[in-house]
Amino acid sequence: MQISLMVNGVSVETTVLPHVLLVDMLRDTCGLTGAKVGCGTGQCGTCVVQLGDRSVKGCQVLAVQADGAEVTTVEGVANGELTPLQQALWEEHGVQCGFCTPGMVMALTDLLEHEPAPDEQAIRAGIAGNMCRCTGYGGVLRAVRKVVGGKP
Amino acid sequence: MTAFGADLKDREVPGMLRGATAFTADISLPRMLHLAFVRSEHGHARIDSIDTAQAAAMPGVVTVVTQEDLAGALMPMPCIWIPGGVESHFPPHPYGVPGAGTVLADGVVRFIGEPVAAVVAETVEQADEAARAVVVGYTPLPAVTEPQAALADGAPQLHEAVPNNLNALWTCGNAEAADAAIAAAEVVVELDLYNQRTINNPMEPRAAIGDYDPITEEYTLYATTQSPHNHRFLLSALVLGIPFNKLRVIAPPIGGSFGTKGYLYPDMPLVLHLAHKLGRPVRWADTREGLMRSTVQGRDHRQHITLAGTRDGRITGLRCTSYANLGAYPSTIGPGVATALMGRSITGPYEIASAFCEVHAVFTNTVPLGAQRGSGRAEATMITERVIDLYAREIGADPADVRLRNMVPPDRFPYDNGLGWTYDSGDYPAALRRALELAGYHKAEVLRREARERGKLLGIGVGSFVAICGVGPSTRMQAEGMLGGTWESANIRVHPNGEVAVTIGSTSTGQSHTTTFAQIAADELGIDPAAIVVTQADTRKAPYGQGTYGSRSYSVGGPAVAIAARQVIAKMRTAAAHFMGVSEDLIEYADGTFTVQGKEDAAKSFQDMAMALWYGWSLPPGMEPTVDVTTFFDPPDFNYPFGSHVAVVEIDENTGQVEVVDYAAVHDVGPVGNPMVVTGQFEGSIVHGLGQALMEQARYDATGALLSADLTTYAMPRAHDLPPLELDRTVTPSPHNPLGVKGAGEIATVPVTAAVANAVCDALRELGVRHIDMPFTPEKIWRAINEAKG
Amino acid sequence: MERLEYTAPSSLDDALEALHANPGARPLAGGHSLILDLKSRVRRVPLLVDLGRLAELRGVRRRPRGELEIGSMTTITELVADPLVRQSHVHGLLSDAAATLPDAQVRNRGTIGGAVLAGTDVAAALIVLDAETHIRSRDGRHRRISVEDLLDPATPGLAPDEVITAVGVSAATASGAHERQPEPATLTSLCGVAVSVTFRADGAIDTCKVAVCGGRTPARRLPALERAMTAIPERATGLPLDDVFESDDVASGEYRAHLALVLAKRAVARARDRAI
Ligand SMILES: Cc1cc2nc3c(=O)[nH]c(=O)nc-3n(C[C@H](O)[C@H](O)[C@H](O)COP(=O)(O)OP(=O)(O)OC[C@H]3O[C@@H](n4cnc5c(N)ncnc54)[C@H](O)[C@@H]3O)c2cc1C
Ligand code: FES
Ligand code: FES
Repeated sequence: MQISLMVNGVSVETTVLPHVLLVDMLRDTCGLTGAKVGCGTGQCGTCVVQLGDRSVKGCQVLAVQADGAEVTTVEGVANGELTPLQQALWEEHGVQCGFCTPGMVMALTDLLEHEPAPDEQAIRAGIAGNMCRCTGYGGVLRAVRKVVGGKP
Repeated sequence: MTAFGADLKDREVPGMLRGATAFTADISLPRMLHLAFVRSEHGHARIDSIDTAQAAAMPGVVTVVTQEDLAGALMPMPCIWIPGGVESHFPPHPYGVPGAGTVLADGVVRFIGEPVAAVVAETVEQADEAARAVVVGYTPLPAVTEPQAALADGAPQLHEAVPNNLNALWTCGNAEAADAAIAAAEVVVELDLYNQRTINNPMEPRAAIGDYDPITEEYTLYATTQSPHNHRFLLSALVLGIPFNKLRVIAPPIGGSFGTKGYLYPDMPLVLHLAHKLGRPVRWADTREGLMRSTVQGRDHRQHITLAGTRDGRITGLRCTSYANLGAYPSTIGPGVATALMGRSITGPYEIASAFCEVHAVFTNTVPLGAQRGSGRAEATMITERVIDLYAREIGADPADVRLRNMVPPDRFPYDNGLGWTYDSGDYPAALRRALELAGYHKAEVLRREARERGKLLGIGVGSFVAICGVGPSTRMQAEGMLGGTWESANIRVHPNGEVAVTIGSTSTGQSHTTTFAQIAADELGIDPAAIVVTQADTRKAPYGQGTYGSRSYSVGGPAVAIAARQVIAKMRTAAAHFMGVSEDLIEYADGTFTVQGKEDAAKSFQDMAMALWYGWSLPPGMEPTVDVTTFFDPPDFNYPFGSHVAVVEIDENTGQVEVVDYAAVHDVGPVGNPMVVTGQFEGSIVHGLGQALMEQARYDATGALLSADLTTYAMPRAHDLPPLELDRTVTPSPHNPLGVKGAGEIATVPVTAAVANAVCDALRELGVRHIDMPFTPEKIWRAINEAKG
Repeated sequence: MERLEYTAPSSLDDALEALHANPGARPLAGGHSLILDLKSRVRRVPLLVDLGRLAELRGVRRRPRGELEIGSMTTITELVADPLVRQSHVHGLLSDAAATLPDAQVRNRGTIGGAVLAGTDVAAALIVLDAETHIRSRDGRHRRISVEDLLDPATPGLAPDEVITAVGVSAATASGAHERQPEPATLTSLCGVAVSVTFRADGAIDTCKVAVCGGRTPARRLPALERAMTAIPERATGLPLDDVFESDDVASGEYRAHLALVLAKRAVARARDRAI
């Protein structure tokens, strides 16, 4: 099936079989390997990308469902410079192995876009769908607190 | 300049934040093929037939292989850490080394995820579809999933070469003395405990890509491996039977490991063999379900412990019997982990006159057992810390007081624990006191009353530990059954302009090596860390190294970097003295400059010396040009980080829900090179431990089917599970390496389960609950409460 | 995932026609339960009829008699953020129930129609709100059936060629709340309890509707629990709930039944707080 969509601001026209997942199309067809497939069952959040103005799990969406939509992946988040969120994740050591990072960045970018001043509970809820086995979430939470309130 | 000790940001992170870091599964080589496994659907079965015809005819399929096709081409995999000093039994290997099973199943499958056949096709999807079309005829055999059952008469037998499924009965300590202490004791406390099987689940599943260059006849393996050099040796010599020179192993950035990626797995030799055979690169990338069925799992000890003590709180003896579930095959280092790392650690940070431990290491129809963050030491700490709490209750003493009373005092080091470890240094009571202070331990009764008013049962629990790290002195490890050296290495090369290239033998799996090792080098060399690049994880580029495991990278590899740097400065000093016409002992080196005492105008910078040595003009007689130093560090002994954790939990009596409401942890890992990185390791380790305490468990049914086979059935902690953490450190250098550092990557996992278990049991004590096994799921707690209430 | 066909009609009639003409075809809403089923191959679907392009199925409208009509393709995120819902008495209960979906990404895709059919917490909340589903099929046929009846295993559910177009919630004034105990792996509810309560002037409970979910059985009302809650909730013990829940790998039916009682009391207390 022929689909056309915008990926990170670039228009993509491609043919894709209906059963292909959005995350697989982004990785295999667009060569955007930032989003990962950490579980395939919707728990880990390593596949999170932005579809329209909201973050979604790329492993739970068909590529054809994104026909005509705008998709942003972690590769498209920073505009040259790292965003304040990314910068804070770096400064607060919210990244260790980096495998969960693309999904974390996308989920948190969505959170901060729609709720610029989340409280602690909302921050944690904002990454309820993102698992990190390295950091224990400490550095991630400090980074978001820093972006929101200036203090880790 | 002090780079050591600074919170430098991890230099690899910006790439990760942009999604630009290519993990193994993100790599695509030209003309690459894709491999998929057909995995066993049975815990134990005879393979009657494998029909590959339909699969082979499917679109895109290039080949389908079974063990029959590999016979003669690939040897079985080896096991290189066996129970030391005792008789042990393994599947065969043609070279007489301990075997770890064939690459694909050879007539019998022994665990649920065992690879039976492999399909190679043009795309991942074609390979997966064809793998589904391979028809395997099985005759199910009786299965056994628990070690004690596997040892019983008439139990199903897994391996012909392993009578009664017993890999080894391993012991340490003095059995007679321990028994005598128990017989003579005023108080004897016993406990049975199941340290449940867990699945490490790094977020990145494993992957491997094999490539072969017919012109140079060289194989290249890209794989999620913590031990590229070691795997190069084992794969070339013992599995593929090819020259060492013809295999290059590259570990791309690794998405977490926690002990799972230091092993040989069937995919590694297979992608290499098939890349050679097919003349195209072959890639395999696991899924989460595949990982859960085939990557090594952790813990799984069934233990019984007996503690002997006096009425006034002095522990006099300890005896532990453990049944370790090795799974269906020995993993590359599993048997050693399950025996020595556990058994020798059961006395914890305490002075216990008579101790003995025996471990029955047993094969069962489950996924092979390996290491999990804190492996062995966590299992030992859990049972000892639990029985100490029970002992304290029995004699009406405070559990923290009993610990303080029995801890090895700071003036007793080096301290021989009687089981084989010689603790290096520390002030164990000081760390515990600090943790108690952070947690407000003295206010426990007030907190308890307050919680009661809110309808909650509050418990407070301590977990104290010492953890052997820095594996290890090679000769000592030989005695522990390690079939290989355990030194580490570093190379430092100084470029003409004074920039520096450091290459290290160990491999980061998320521990920021390229930053922290640059800090060590920068500090020793007196230059800016930004002028240093660190390379790792490619056997062609990096010097020999053994890899990252057993909290060894920083405490064994770090000293190698420091020693190499010191040799760099020594050479420069000699040359500088020569150029400045003074004797070497008059030269001082600080902040990147060589100066001469009393001669203000004479100075040579690090950069000057780099350039001078590069040109090689007028060097001192006999000195070689350039600076390029390689060192190997084989530590004189292990190092022993230690600490204490205090957990405060609240239990909802109505639902059984356990909440960790406060958590204090004090560690001593010696001097810390990058506190931010180390704090990150501590936090991650603690949450990993909380996962085991509260929710994680790999469950099998009687046939060996894995019931928790994906993330919908295996729970792991999420952000809302992180309790308020209060961390602190004490600093006692280790005398066993020139930096004084101790392992830090996994140790904070070690006491977590104990602290939480002690807190949970403390909360339920007033209801009459003595002990509950992990994980502390709400229903289990609710049932325990109901039973206690009658 | 197995290969399949896909169509994304731009009118409801085309969608209904496609469902009718292709045996085994299924409507695709957010896909968050359907795609999982397809991946694990527990279900085969030759044709997916994507309702995602049907703007008419999205959004919340107020009907003349105050009824809220929630388009079936409204996502859970849109639902709780909708101004009409926010101003309504149902907001507290629906946001409680919506928050049970594990994360923002699932709420961003999962739809109210899908949630009704999933029969979990959101469905339980809709049941105690007496919500009604509006159902269409080919040739302009339509019917309405309450969420409770639709999920009742004893009644025939949705026909393969029927589509839920909207969920209607009447303008009542009861106070509602939802409580649940999540299971840690998927964060789904071991047991969830929705209540909708009216209070007398003296503060005593006048009416109380209770719906529960958890385990394989879809959300349903529990009259025994309703009676107990209408009497004196604090005193309710030992209700005959033993056979209400099934046991599975995650929890026993007995534990779920126990939770139902505990959570119902908590939900009633929260509803009371909200009513003041
Ligand atoms: C990671 C993850 C975690 C989840 N956790 C939870 C949880 O904790 N609790 C919970 O309740 N759910 C959970 N879900 C499931 C999911 O959120 C719900 O099932 C969701 O509400 C389904 O909505 P959907 O729009 O995605 O439906 P779809 O998956 O698109 O459809 C589900 C079924 O309903 C049918 N259908 C959908 N809409 C209509 C319609 N308008 N008319 C006719 N038929 C229709 C479809 O044909 C299909 O059979 C989870 C899902 C994921 C991916
Ligand atoms: S891969 Fe999508 S949530 Fe894990
Ligand atoms: S940083 Fe490794 S999983 Fe999050």
